[in-house]
Amino acid sequence: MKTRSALRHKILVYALRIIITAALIGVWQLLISGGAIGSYALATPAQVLAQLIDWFKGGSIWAQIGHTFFVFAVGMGIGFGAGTILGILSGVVPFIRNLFGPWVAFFNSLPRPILIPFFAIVFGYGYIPGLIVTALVVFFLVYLPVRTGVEEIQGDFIQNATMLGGSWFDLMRTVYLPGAAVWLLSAARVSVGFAFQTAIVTEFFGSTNGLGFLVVQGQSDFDAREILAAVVLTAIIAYLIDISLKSVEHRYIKWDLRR
Amino acid sequence: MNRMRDRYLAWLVSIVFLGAVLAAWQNVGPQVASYLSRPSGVALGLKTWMVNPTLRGYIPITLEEAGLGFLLGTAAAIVLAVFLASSKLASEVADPFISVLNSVPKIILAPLFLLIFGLGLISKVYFVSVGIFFIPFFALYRAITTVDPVYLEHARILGASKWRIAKDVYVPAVIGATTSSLRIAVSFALLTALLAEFVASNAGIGYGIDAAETSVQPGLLIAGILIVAIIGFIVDRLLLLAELRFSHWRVA
Repeated sequence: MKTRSALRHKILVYALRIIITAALIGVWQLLISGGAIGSYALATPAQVLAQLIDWFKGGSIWAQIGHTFFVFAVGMGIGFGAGTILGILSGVVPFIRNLFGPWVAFFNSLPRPILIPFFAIVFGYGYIPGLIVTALVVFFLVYLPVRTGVEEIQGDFIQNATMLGGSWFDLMRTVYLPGAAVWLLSAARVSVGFAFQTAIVTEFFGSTNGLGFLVVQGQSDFDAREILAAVVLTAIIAYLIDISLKSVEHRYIKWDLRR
Repeated sequence: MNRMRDRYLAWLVSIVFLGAVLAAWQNVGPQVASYLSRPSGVALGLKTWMVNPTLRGYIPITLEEAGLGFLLGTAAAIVLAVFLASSKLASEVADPFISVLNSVPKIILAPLFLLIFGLGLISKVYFVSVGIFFIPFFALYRAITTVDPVYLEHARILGASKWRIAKDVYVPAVIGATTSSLRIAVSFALLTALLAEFVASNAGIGYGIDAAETSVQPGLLIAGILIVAIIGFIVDRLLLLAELRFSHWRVA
């Protein structure tokens, strides 16, 4: 009896989801064919699908996706590494913390992507400004939590390890890194989304490659099909990244002592 | 005592370092200065931002876009969060839509908003509200759904009406998490407004910075970035004060 009503509930939920999806696509289609929104501003679902198929058939789309992924992954790697190292050092050595303190406070209140035009003027157009800004965005997402994590390690652990004759390296490996690991995991989860978003933003400016470039190209061509197709493609990729991250997170959750 | 000395020393080193950087920057060759400017050039740029009526007028425009977008996005987030938290069916149905929409990098929608709503204020306001929507939404939704059922039962046993439960149980339980999420949302609103102005606009700080880039005026460009930093810093401090004001509500 109970399983039956649970089943019925499940069917209801899925039916509603399908109805809503169909309704959204229907409204989308009607807005255009009804003339509420000009066809220059919005393309129909069928047109978007055709554009996507066109891109994948042509094969050049992989280079665009690859460009975005390159900026995303390398920028993320640099920001994450630098954030971890400096975060641990600042947590362990108060002098370093104080040294970076005012700079971190200043740059932390500055929206980092605003620096893109600056780096574009200094380094020219290309992937370098994108890399730097993506790395900066990730750096601050990692640095602050790691620093806090290391600072909150109980003195007992450090003293015990030192008393037992642990070297600086042992201390790093067995006390500081595990202490920071919990924070690193949650920072990683947050920074992936931000890094991907930043990589796309940087491609808006003077880039000639990448998913972000496809969108602005569509905008300057007044081609709503290109814009929407790029948006849909990005949404799918972002969603795939998100769910794969969730499954990875699931596997490492045993590290997270807070749960 | 030792700690204090350590801190002063660090400040001293920071200031000396900053001075050295500024001095080196001021003395760069003309070729480098053409894209990196000089501190004096940045100071001149800041003066231009303050004196020139067009540039000065850009500042309230951006603040208006960010402020209205923030209010609209927050209001929509509150409505949807309360609705979804109060209906189990609705939240189950909405779950996949929300996780897909949340994972989309909102910034990629900027050109779309500009095409549909035009270059002006409206498109920026809508775009900002979409950009920040999920920040207060998730905070509020999580806070409402994780209210300790024991409190609810106690209140109910004591004969509290729906209104009393909302006022005395839910509001105190969610206000802490919501105000801290709003602090993040405000700085995000500012950033989103600026990015939308970068993409396409005819006014605003982001437009001014973008114009300075296209016309290769690094002094004006860096001054624009500094203005954003200063505004961001002031807004953040004000919100921190507001957050502290509400933090006594928070139950650990």
